[in-house]
Amino acid sequence: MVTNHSVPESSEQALAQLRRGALPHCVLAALATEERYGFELVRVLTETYDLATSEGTIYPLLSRLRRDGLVETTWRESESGPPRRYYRLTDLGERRLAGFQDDWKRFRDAVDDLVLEAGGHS
Amino acid sequence: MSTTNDPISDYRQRLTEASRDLPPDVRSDLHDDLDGHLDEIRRSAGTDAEIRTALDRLGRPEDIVHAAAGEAGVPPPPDPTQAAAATATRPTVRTAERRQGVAGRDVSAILLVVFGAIGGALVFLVFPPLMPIAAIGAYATGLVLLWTSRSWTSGEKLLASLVWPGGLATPLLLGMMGTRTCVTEATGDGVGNMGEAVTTCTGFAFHPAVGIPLFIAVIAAPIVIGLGLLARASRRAAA
Repeated sequence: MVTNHSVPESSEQALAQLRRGALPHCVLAALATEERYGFELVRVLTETYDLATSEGTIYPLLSRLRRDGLVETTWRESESGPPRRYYRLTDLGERRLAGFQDDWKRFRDAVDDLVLEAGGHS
Repeated sequence: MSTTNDPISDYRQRLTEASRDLPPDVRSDLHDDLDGHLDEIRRSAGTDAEIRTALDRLGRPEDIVHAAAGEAGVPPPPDPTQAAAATATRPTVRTAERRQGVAGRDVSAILLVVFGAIGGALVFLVFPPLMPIAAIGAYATGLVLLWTSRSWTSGEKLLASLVWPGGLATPLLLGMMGTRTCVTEATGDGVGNMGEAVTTCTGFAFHPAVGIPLFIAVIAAPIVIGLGLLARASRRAAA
């Protein structure tokens, strides 16, 4: 894993760091209301929310979430082709997501107050 | 290296190549997920152009394998296409910690494993009673540095540990012990009458035609392995 000890040199780099940090919980959130199969999940995260540049790198993250017990998978038959692997949250994953929602609100408000207020923007 | 006109098959082949050195469970997980994704691309994308676009969005197999190695906590396999890849699209942030070349720690590990016991034995010249401790201690330190390093796979560490245990000291020691000495005595009676010459040999040695190449191979093996491990560590440190 790349550990980020350096100050980002550009907005692009800063956003890349932020995306990487937020992505695991965004994956959990994308599974909050329903189970999704890999392709669908990965498309939602990249297309709708622009949270990763390469779809494929999300799959190793999904494997880690599964190893950590936050998501589980089931294979389901599909009419139009081979079986699909569906991902869904475990109880632990639900609890972890709920905890993050509080943390995120606090973090988001703090950064808003500081960064957006600086220079008179809001 | 496109061998067919089917970009999906080419992609699968590149993935298989790139993921060869991943741990088996990580590799099979990744293949399950990506096979499913490639199936979906085939299902949903129509034209060749759409398929290629979808594969671009999926990302390079080498990058995905790199991410999988990272999540699994293992050293990433070397990327043979790295020189050709466009670095502008890579989101990874290079940190000030990136090392060029091999860490001194790794170099010490290899030196101590291969030569440590010999170096320790040289303590004999200075303070004889300390020799066994110095020799064993040096080799053991090398083993600890080897096994705690993150630059090598377990297979590589095992190879360096077993060829040979004790480093080069072991074959040198065994070589000195396993010699064949022959003594020829003349059984004369001391007053000018030559008797027979009797040769008695003890010990064991290979015939020189076998023994010399064998000795060279046995000495070369740990050195070659040590250099190979350092080369891999250097490649991985720069990745």
